[in-house]
Amino acid sequence: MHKRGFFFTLDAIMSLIILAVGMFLFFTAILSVPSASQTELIAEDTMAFLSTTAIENLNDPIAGIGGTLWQQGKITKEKNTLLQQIGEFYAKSDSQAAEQFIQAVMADNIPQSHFAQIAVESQLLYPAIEPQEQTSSKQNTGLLIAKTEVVFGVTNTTTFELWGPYEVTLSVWQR
Amino acid sequence: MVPSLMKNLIHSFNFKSKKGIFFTLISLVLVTIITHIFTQGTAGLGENEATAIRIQVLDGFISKMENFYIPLALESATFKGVNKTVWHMYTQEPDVWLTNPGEELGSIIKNGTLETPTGTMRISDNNTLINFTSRIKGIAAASYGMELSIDIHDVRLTQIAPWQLESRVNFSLTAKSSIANWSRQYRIATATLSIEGFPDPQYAVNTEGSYTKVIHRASTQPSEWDAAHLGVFIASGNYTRFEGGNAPSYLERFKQSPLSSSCCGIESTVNDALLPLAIQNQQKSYADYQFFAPSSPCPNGGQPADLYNIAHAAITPPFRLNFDHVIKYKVDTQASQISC
Repeated sequence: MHKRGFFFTLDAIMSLIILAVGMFLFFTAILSVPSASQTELIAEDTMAFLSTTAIENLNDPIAGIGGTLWQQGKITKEKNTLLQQIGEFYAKSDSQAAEQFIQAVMADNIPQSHFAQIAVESQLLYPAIEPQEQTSSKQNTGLLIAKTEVVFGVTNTTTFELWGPYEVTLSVWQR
Repeated sequence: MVPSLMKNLIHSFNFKSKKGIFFTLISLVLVTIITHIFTQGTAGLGENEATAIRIQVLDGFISKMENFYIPLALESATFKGVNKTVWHMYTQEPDVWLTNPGEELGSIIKNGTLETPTGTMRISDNNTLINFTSRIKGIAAASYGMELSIDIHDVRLTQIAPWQLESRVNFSLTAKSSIANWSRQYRIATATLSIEGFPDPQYAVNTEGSYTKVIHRASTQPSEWDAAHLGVFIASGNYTRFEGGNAPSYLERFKQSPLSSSCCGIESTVNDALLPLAIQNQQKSYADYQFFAPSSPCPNGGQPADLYNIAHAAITPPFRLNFDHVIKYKVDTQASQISC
């Protein structure tokens, strides 16, 4: 009688182990999603770069101090972050300068394997006109990471025109 | 092994052994508990993580609004409010003067209105602090699904230095979202603004807008003053400060009779050629706060007046100063007292 008790207990415990392993495999299989790490990191790093880097700390022949846009008088505030500058271009309805600026600052941030776009208040600024290849890639991608930041500022310190707050969305996905 | 569970069950149904039922029940209970733990653990982890990230995002948004947007909006509303007020003061009939500029300008910055004995005047429409903060409510609702409410309790403008104003707002902020609520009560945000670039109400109102002046600080040091520097100073329309002087501060200049300010008094000199004809060539000191103050040319009843003509090639006549200013500008050798 006692031996049978041990046997049944042991039997039950072993059944439990099998069930537990089975459930573990089942649930981990359910939870596994396509790896988001690379796309997520690109999006996160790019957004951090845009929102923390000031124009004065950027060495770029187009977007930096003394660069093309600076000489044209389209960039005037060296303390602006890159994201603020994008917002300011939007506030001034200068989408051409915005695209040129974003192109210059994003060139080294987005690898060839990924696409990226930037929209302010849902208006696409980069690229201003989305190529067909990019549109279809976006529609067919399994994973698109969108990061949003709010930007605002004053156009200049003579008139103190406040612009924003605007929502800037960066979308990144794999080709 | 698993089929043995079934065996146990069949065994139990045969009622050959009550222990079979007992062990089967134990195993079922244990399976239920473990299943429950697994399902709770896996599903709960994802949900908690998502909630934590969302709270972090919303918290970041609120902090950004509180610490950066509201001070910037305050700075912009102050700049706009002060400029609009000066314009309003001299374009109204009769002229409008403030009695408590710090509070009254605060009200204009907050909601664009000025309370006067005759009623409420609307000075500014689109560039008030309330207007700027309402923009955040829109973006909070549209982008973050958050119901944001900002109450501006009080805005006050103070002169903190001769060339600086401080705008201070007391506000409360509450935010409600589906996952959490935020409440920040009676917070203070400040913005420090240089008065350089602001219009001087004394000139604008006293000349009905025909002689307006914007504050710019002269670079002349107290030890450098002489007739030549004074000539340049009058022509440029700049402002200076004399320690221990009786000049009013910028904020006091919104009053009809500005009081002297020991900490923050600034002054300029009136250029007679730019005055309206009706008030040119006055028997007064051309130090601005003395020129625009009502005074009698012979206050001492026939005694020599405290007034001196300043004659120098660099200074276009007429130009007069009282003794105190003759000394301050170091033009005593070019000064001749005017007799009553």
